[in-house]
Amino acid sequence: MKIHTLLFAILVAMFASFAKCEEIMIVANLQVQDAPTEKWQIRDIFMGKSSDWDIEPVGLRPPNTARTIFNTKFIALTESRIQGYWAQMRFSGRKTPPKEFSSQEEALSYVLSNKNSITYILSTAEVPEGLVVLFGEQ
Amino acid sequence: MKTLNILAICLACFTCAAKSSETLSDSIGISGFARVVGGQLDTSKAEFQGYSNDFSFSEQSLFALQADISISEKLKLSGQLLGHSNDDRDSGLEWLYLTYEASSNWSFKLGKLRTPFFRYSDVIDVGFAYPWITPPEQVYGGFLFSNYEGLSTTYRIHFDKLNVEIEAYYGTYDGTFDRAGEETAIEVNDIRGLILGISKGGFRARASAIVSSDFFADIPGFQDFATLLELAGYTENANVFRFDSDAIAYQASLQYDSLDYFVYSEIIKIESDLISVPEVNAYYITIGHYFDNFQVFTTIASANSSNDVPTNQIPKGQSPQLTSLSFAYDAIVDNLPRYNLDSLSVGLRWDFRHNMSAKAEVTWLRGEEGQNSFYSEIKDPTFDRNAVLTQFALEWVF
Repeated sequence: MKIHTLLFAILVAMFASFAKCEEIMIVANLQVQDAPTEKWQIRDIFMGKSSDWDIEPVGLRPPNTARTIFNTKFIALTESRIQGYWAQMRFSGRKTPPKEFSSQEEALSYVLSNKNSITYILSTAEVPEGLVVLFGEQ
Repeated sequence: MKTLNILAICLACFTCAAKSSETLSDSIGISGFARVVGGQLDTSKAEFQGYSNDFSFSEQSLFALQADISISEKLKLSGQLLGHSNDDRDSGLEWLYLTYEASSNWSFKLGKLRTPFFRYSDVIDVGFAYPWITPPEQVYGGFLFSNYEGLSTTYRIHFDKLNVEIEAYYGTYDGTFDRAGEETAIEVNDIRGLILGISKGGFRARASAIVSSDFFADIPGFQDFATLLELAGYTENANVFRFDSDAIAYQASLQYDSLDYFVYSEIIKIESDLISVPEVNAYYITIGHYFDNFQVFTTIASANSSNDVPTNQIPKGQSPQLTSLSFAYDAIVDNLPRYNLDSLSVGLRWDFRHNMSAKAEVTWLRGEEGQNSFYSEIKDPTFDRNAVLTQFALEWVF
């Protein structure tokens, strides 16, 4: 019994440390030469700021691990602040938030069938053929 | 009103047209927001924002529905219906306008729009969009009209990481004017505004100016009094009671958001030679900290006001008529409400779902004796203008 408990504890610890190391990738349906190369460019695309790219951002509905990592590493704002920002933009008639899906499979399939769209997924996910990885390695 | 009617007909037509199409969900976006706000003031001698010594839920609670209908890729029709729990505020169509996204740089709006006086003026009812329960009263408490009918143009450009947005708008307003608790019927036939917004990473700055002129205000007795003064030859004093001059509101705000904390600050100045609009200088600074799904923040805010009224040139003692006119002039000028108020507040916000939050806020108010100090009602003249306001709120966007 004790060994089982110990094993379980080790597994939990391993899983926790594994979860902590989770990373995301930014994948897009576009030509590499047309792609943004800087993090702030990705941020501006997802926050609806003016940019040189005609790229459609596609997000994942919260709560979602990939979204949390994306918020922290790319947007650098809390979920609460991002929601507040979009409430202000939408209800003052300025901008509408990115299209959102509840799973990365749905997001990937949308991006796959829509040229010039971009999304974020966990690094553990399989990248379908036809999409380019802009940030993060598998 | 004509523009509104046309837009309403367009809305009806396109709703029907969209309903018959298969892409209903793509062409119509329905969203909305709601809030339930309760509060209480710790004194029975006055009311603040309508809050009295009895706990009340009916001052700021509201529900709104917004429909965005895509007519074509570049043309969109938006309407917002709002229902207030407060009887003093009109419920109904809050805005209705057409947006034309000409390019990624240019966009145009036409119709009934929210007046974007200050940083949060156009989302003042969307409590979810800001940390406080009520944005600082000193800046947002009055002298404003919530919407206008007209045209707005926005130009967006970026220089490397710096995003710049310039918005210019022009329109008219026909409705009521909130004078910190008191409502006056007013027409403003010439509203012109310019907004410059700059953002880079977590920084956002905004500076704006809005000029309102060509007023018609229905304050009983003022026109008659002005005519009397003019007939007596005191044109400068007479003009005080007419509304043929300007009121200008200037604003500057700076805010910074990071993953751990935020700082919001805003300063405004209202310049006016209208008797019903005082000259106001006001500011606030809010500093907050995020932890888990909570944010705790504190705000200091301050306002002072004066009235730019020409000296009384009507002599006393020359003739009984002039003497009484002169005393009447003094009485009106001396009784103009003044709005000095300092406050400190502490608030907590908990985002228990990504689109719902609960808030609590306590505000210590320090006004000046003998003044209005933004209290919506003073029931006891001996009230020292110091009070504590406690509020709770639930915010929801969908």
